[in-house]
Amino acid sequence: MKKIVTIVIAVMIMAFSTVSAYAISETSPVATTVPETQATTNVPTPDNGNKSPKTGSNDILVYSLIALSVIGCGAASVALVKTAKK
Amino acid sequence: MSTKKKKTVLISLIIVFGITLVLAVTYLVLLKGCAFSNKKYIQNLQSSVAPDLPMGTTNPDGVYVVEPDVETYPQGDSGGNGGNGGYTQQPVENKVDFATLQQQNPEAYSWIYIPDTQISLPVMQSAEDDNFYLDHDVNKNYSFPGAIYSQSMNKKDYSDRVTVLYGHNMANGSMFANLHYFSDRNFFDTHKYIYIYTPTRKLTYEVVVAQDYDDKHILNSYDFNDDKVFQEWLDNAKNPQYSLTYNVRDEVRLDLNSKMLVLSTCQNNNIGRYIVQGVLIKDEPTQ
Repeated sequence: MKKIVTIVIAVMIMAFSTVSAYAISETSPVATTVPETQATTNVPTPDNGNKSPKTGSNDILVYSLIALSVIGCGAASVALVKTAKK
Repeated sequence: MSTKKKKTVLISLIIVFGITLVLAVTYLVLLKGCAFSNKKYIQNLQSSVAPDLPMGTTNPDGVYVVEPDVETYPQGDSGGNGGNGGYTQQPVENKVDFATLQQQNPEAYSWIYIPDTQISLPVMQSAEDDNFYLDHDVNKNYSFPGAIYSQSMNKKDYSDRVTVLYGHNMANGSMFANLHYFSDRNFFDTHKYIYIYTPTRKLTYEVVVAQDYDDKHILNSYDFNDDKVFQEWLDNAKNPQYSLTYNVRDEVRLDLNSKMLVLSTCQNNNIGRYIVQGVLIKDEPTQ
């Protein structure tokens, strides 16, 4: 008897759940996944800046770094040699 | 400071500078390698997709060739500069194999060609990020030289009043570096045309002005839908007020029906921009 009642209740729950008005709410512990019905539109990330894209050759910075390193290295080496002579 | 301590500091400095030097040289080598391989790839792409649009000489002092086929073009009804720019129904040959090009990347929507320069390149527009091709090549791989591209505020059919294309000013002369040739008066005088191929059309632009410009974002700074703003832009193209150095073609007539093409790259000082601007004079269907 107990089994029959359980089955009837289960069938009723299933039947009512197909009617949207009685469907399980989203707060139910039973997790439901709402499918994405809205088509995703491919909108590019806009460039809203007030400056034009920087299209320069970026090796100026590298050349500057190389020049500074060479100068620094040279100066330190000269100083080292002078210190060693003392 | 004791001599020993001084020596230690100096040796440390030498080591730091040495490491910086090695890292900078390595980075430079990688950068040059990347630029070289990108240039090589573009050359291969050009020879397979647009073999009839060869990259020209890299030397602005070389032989200047005025495109003979354009010289014989009749001017359009609007005086050769407005609206549809003298649209003709006679189909011409499309010199770009767009089927092959778009197989590689469907975002390649047109091809730009300027005779006697290395500018024979695909034009991209990203569906993800307006500046994606600033540092990505035609195959969407990261690459400092990037590709020639427009932004989404411009339509891909070149129907806007002002279409802006961007490209790097590469030290090896690739991308838009050769735009600087137009600062040479002789080159400017003898190279009047810029060609754009789309899958269905060939657009011919006559170069109006080549000038230094600031780093203002043109399309975000001007509302070209406003006739007054657009007229001011056209007036400024014929008489650049804020440029120290420029070349202008005075005989070209511009009006509110004009369709302008702006090619933008950096100046050699890496601060401002150098722009070459053309007006549509011919719009032909292709077969």
